[in-house]
Formats: sequence, C-alpha cells, structure tokens
Amino acid sequence: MKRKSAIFAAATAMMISAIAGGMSVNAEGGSVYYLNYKPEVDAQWQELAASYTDQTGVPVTVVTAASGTYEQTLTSEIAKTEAPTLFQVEGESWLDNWGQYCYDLKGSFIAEHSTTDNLLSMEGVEVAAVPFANESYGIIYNVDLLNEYCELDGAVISSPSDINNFEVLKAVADDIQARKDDLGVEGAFSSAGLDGSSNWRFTTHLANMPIYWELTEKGITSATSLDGTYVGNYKNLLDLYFTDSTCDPALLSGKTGDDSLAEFCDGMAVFYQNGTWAWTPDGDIADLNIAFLPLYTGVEGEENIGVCTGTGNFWCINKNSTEEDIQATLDFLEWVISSDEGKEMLSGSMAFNCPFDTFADVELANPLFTSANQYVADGKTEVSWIGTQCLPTENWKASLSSALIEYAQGTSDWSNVEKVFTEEFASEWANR
Amino acid sequence: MQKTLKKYFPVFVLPTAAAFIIGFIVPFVMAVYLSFCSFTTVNDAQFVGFSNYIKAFQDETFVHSIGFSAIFTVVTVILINVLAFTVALCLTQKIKGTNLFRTVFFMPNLIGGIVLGYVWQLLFNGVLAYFNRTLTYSSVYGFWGLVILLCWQQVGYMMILYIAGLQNISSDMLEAAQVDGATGAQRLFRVIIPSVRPTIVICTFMTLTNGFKLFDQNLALTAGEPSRTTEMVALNIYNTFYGSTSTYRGVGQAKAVVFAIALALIGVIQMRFTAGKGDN
Repeated sequence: MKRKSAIFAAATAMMISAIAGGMSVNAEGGSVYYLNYKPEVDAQWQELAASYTDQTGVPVTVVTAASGTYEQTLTSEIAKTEAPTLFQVEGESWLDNWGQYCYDLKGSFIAEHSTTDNLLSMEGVEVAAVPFANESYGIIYNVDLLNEYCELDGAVISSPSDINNFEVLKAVADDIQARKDDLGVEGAFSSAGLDGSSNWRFTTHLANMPIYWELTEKGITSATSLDGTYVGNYKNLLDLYFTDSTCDPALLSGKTGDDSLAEFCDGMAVFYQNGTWAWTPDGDIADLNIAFLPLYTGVEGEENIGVCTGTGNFWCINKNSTEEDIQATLDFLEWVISSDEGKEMLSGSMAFNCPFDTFADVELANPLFTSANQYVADGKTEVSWIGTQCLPTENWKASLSSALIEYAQGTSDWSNVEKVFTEEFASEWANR
Repeated sequence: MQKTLKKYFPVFVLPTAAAFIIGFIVPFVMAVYLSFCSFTTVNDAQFVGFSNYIKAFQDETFVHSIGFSAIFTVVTVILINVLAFTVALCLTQKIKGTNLFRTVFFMPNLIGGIVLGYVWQLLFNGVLAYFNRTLTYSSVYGFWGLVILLCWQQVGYMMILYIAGLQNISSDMLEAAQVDGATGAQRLFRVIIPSVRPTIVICTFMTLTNGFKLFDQNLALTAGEPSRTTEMVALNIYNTFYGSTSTYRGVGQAKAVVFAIALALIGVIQMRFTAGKGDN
C-alpha cells in the first residue's frame, strides 16, 4: 500500500514539474509582451522587437492576433500568468470591457508627447489609452483614370477637384457607369462587398456619416439613441455604390474585401471606399496614382468637409503586470516613438501616421495621408469619428450588415436599415 | 500479472486521468460556475445568480437557432446514414477498385470545416450567380447548402464505419439466407441491417452530435445570413459571447451550459432508443 502511494506521488510530482517547467521565470529587469492588433504589420513589429532586445537585452515578445479575433485573443491572453504587458483598444467603448486593466499613463513619455487631444480617460484613470496611429478614410480614386474620364467628350467635370458634393459625384459616377466601355472599366465603383471580410467599410466607416451629421447638428459628441435624420443620406451614397458598380447588387454578399481591392488595383473601377491602411508600400495599390474624396452623401454644406480622420489604435499598459514589466514596457514605447529606428519603421514600412511630436520631422510615404492633409490645408473640416465611436455593439454592426445584404439582394426594403439606426441602436445601448 | 497490473495501475491511469481532469472536468466546472457570473475574462467573474439563464431564454435568436439546429440535425442524420450505408453496401461487393473508391470518399473528411465552408461558398455562389442570387438570398438556400456540405464531408467517414460493420457479418449467415430462398430485400432488412445494429448506433450518435455542434462550417458558409436565420446554436453562443459587452459573456456561457446538457441528454436517449432491446 505504501509503495503504491509512493508511485502515485512520484508520478504526480513528475506531472507537476512537467507543467511548471513550461512556465518561464521573468528576467530580473522586466520584459515586454505586446499583443498586436494588426496582422499586416506583424513582421515589422517582430523585427523592431528583436532589434530592441539586441540593443538593450530586454526581452520583447510580440504576438499578433489573427485578423478579426483580437478581443477573443485578448480575453484568453490577459487571464494568463504571463499576460500581455501592452495591448490595444479600438476606442472608448472598449474601455467598458478592458478599462479595468488599464495602467494610468499620465506623465508617461507617450502621453506627454502625444499631439492629439484624443487620450482616452475613464473613472479613476486619467490617461487609460494613448493613440499611436491616425487613420483616414473616404472614397479612394484612381487619379489617372479620373483624369482620363475628364478628357472624354461631354464629361461632366473638367478636373477631379470639381467633385465637391454628392450631386456632382453622382453625375460623374452615373456617366462613368454609362460609358464604362469607353473608359475601359467595368464600373465606377469597385464592388461594395457585404461579405464579412470587408462589410465594416459600410457598417462602421460609412455609418459614421449619418451619425456624424446628426450629432453635429445637435451639437453633441455622443449619443445612445438616434433620430435617424441623415439615414437617407447614407442611402444616397450606398445606392450609388450598388448601382454604379462592377457587380450586380444581388451578388454583393459573396464579394470580399480582396475582390474589391483587386478590382480597383486592376483598373476595373475608378472609385473604392476604404482608408489609408489600404495603401502598403509593397502592395499593388502602391503602383497607382491615388487620392481621396470625402464621403459626400448629399447633406447641405458638405462642400466644406474633408475626409474622415481619427484613430482606432490605442496603446494600453496592463496594470496587473509587475512594476518591472510596466517600466520595461514604458521604456520600450519611448524607444519606439523617439529612436530613429523606431520612427522609421512606424512611419516607413508600417505606413502609420503617428500623432507624436517626435514625428514632426518625418515625411509620410503614403499618398493617402498627403491627400487627407491637403483637404485640411485647403481649409476643409476633418470629419471626426464620433459616429463610429458611439456604435453600440458588434451585434449592432452585424444587424446593419444583415439589413444591407437584404436590401441589396432585394429581399427586404430600406425601412429595415432605418430601424437598425433608430430602434436597434437605442435598444442595443439600453441592453449593454 | 494481475498483481503487477494492480501495482502499476496509478502510473498507467494518471496521465490520461490528469489530461481528462485538466482538459475536461476543470473547464466544465468553471463553465458552469461562469454561467452564473458576469465577467470579461475567467479571472474577474462576479456572481450574478440566474439572470444569465433568464436572458438566454428571452433571446428569440437563441430559440430560433435551437429550432434550426434541430431540423438540420434530423435531416442530416437521416441523409448521412442512408447515403453512407448505401455506399458501404456497394463498396463491400466484389467489384474492382473498391479500395480506391473508399479512399476517395473518405478524403473530404480530412479537410477542415472553415476551409470546406469557404470552398463550398464559392461553389454555391458560382452556380447561384447564374440566377443572379447568392447563398444569403434565403434561409432555405443556406439550410440546404449546409446539408450538402455536411453530407459531403461526413458520408465518407460513416461509410468506413459501416464497411467495418458489414465485413463482420459472417458469410455463412448470408449464404444460409440465400439457400433458404430469401430475396435481396429480405436479406437486407432481416439479416444485414440487424447485424450492423451496433454500427448504426455509433454512426447515428456521431452524426447527431456533429449536426448539433456544427460551428466552423456554419460560420464560413453562411455566417447566419440572411438576418441570423441560418444561425445554429454554437454560432449563436459565439455571437452572444463576443457580439456585445461583457454583460453578455455570462449569457453566452449560460446558453453553452444549456446546450451541453441538452446535447448529453439527447445523446443518451438516442443511444437507448437505437440500441434497442435486442442487444444484450
């Protein structure tokens, strides 16, 4: 009997040591574990981390969540003993779930050198999250193709800059669609794919517009219910995407983001709604001459707007990390935004527009930033992301996507979309 | 021998027992506990009582997904088993190339659900494009799309099990039936089918649980479109868990617990029912 329990104990001890062996012990000086949101810049972060470790000896681990699974990955990672010391949130609404993990960044290098007034705060935490990459979105157009159109006989406009409201945009798009063979394109707009891979272009980004106009009219910056005054304007632009397109609207639910980008890059379409992130230095799009148009939806006074600029990329430091790890993470971030190597990587191959004063001397390679900045230089008002920031839940976006699919394929009418913006918007907020 | 076995029993059992405890018992107990909590991660749970369960059953989409899954499961259990049995019967005849056919029919089972979902989505949408429609046009399309996909994936696997069962039937018995003048149908229904009853029990159990638990294929093929009408239970739980704020994670957890218990019950009832009185 004694022997039996001895064997049992030995086996148990073996198991436990095997499990314990898997956990590494922290280096004395602290270490950094960054849970990165953007798969497209994973390789660059890995390179930057390795270089920092070489120079300082501080271990930096970068793990990237698969596309679209950031919250899931964060949920499981942050519960571990070796939790991320650095993670990201998309905006204020994420603080409901993740604010309890946010270390107060007040007085830190990244907060002190931030050039935006968009530092996120919450009860008890003065600076919970610091934005590190500004982004803009609008209608990207192929400058060469649009110029070619302007030279056609009887073109509605003589130069791309003539497009300054929805009415002109519609006239141009309709004309391009009608004369697509003359221009050698298949449609004015690339397919507005409603498949899950890029429906956020319409359920999040374009959805900003009707909410932005309503909040601006009311003079407020957030809301938990909407009147839906400008949902009709949202319809204006969507209808244009659906009808003046490379693709029949009934087939849009099967079109992906890659399809749409490929059509645009192959010169099959003149317009493509997306943002600055669509441009990468080694992508096909880098061969094109491109610029932005604002999201004109037919609202009075829209001649004065620029493109939508804001950020969905905030850094947060996990307050449950050890003091050494927090310090190591702060030091790492300081190096990232102040060293030449870090700055070059962020603004160069990651193509970020970083809102820190340390980046004042950096030139941006991305032509879309240049275009976005041009609107500001011309005295146009940047459209803020207040609309996307007050979207209630992922479920709401999914509902909007479903309503758009049914509208596009003709199985239900526009009233469902209106309902999503008014009734469901309020009920999702109420049930949060 | 017996003594040695007894002596080393813990050494042999411990690894599996430990894996079972770590991989199943502990997560299950935690899952049940979390279904009574509000939480963002498993470490920050706060007890809230039964409210998650109440919210779960007030959710119309959950009730709809249960109905959809149930109909789907009934259809796929029948189709997969009938098809698999038929194919197995054909491939146990003395014809050339049976091994090649068995391999080919089994192969779809080796492909992951997400990949299958996207591949079949391309195929279905490619065909439906001739009628200017896509899979999201109606829930009927999505339903039959899922049925075809799952049949294609699982018929081969069940076929292998049925072949094993069929090969176990003694040829004496079949010959005796033939000599006694039994017709083909009589041989099938009176001799072959009763003999493979244990295999039928296993195969129906597996297809039943696979049908109910279906997730990857559902996510990739229809993602619940149009308007959550093709959303099955597992996808509904996933959407509840991640689709809203942390308030709803507990609700998703409660749905998952209800689902697990219901599935276990259905499984047990089905085993009792198909095993029948004839066996032991």
